Amino acid sequence: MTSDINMPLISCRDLTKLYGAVPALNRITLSVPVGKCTALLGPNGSGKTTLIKLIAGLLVPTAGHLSVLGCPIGPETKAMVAYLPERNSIPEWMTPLQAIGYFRSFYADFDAGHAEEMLRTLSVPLDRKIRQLSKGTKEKVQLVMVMARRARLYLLDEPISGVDPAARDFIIRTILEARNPGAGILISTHLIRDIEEIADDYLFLQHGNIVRSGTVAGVREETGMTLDELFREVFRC
Amino acid sequence: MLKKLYYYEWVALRRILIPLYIVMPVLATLCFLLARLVAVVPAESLLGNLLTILFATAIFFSAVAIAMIFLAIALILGYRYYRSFFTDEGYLTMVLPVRGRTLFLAKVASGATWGGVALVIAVLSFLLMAWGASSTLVGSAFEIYISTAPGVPAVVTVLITVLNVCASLFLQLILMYGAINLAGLVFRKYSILGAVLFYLVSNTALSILSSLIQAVVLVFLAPLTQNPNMLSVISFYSATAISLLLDAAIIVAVWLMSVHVLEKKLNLS
Repeated sequence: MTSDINMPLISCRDLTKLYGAVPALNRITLSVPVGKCTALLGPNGSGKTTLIKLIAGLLVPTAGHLSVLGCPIGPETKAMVAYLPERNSIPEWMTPLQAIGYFRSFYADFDAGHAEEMLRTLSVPLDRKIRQLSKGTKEKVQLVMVMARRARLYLLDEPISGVDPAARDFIIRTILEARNPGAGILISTHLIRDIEEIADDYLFLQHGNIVRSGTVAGVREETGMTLDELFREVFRC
Repeated sequence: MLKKLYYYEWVALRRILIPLYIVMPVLATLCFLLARLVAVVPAESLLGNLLTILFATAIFFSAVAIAMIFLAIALILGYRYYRSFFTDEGYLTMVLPVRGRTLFLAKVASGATWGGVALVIAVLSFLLMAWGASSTLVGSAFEIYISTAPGVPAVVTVLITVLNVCASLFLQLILMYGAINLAGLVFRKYSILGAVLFYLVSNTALSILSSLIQAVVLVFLAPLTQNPNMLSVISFYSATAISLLLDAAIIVAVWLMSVHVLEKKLNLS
């Protein structure tokens, strides 16, 4: 790959995804720069998860163009993108130690020592099968597997919704540690207040369209509101 | 990457399949030992009669159990395939930095290995039970089978039979995986049901096609000779060739379709 300092991390042009006749994403055009943490916000069914899945390579676009660091979605982008789904994807028969071995096998940027350290910090039993863990603990394991990678792009779909407040603080600290000038983070969440302190930019999605975007600092300067207050204003029922 | 995928498939399946593999020869061994016991106890005695009944029952249920275990292994392979692509585990599988064709190849290689081992164990188990029932039974059955293709050397008959069985089972594995891929693409709900439907339809169509082709070929070949033995030999080889060629063609077609689905069309919504 040639120098990608000025290349956008994520680039979409007229990106469309239809489920039958229903547009989940409607000709989205956006460019997410390297080194930023972008909050992807919107009401249920707005297209946040669809966008994340398209970038992760789990969905095929109906139309339009999508690339990560100039590369079309494929094995090359999957090697540099760390994806955290909102559901548990680690096989239930695995133990956290086996999951570490699995991720280390397939991802060159996976730091097994860091993963084990994070799991111990979160008091996750390493030799117990995933099926024997609570829902919140499963989510912690999955998050650790993703954040232990030194990826170029982290796609986090609802990373803090199902965990206790103490773990939530740990997750937010971990996300902050993952930030570096060469990487980017795209977070989808409903817990805006928790994310506001770490997000640089935001995107509001509704019915598959971008209704508003900008910098988090700009929201405060221009409107005097927090991002959470702006969200409630824009998407008032 | 292929080796790593194959290894993790093996790890995922071994805890379920190895116990099943052990059950088959254990059942066969029990039947064999029971047969030996029946052989030493006088048949006219009460104990002899009881043992004979027990042995006959054991043979019947063991044969059924081994057949059911073999079928269960096939279903487990199919369900494992479905789980790793079309359930939540697909979020892990489909974001791996490998091409869809590599994922599919790993699944097929793993399925063929486990299925092949299951076939060998099942066949050996049946042979052990048959040998226990009668030391001449296996030999007699073999002679009867060889006589179905008069004029063809016994070694050739055996080799072609093994080749046909392996090709057929490999085809069934590919058809099962292909049916699951197609159903995952076409049906958003009830994809397992859709996969079963596609599998049954494709098998039926394949059987009809194979029979038609063989009948047509025989119609053209029959006038070549008046010798019934020669006709039998021609029929044997032509049926084998048609079967293998058709299997190969279907395997290639389903392979290409599956790779296309996994690389270009699959949506994990």
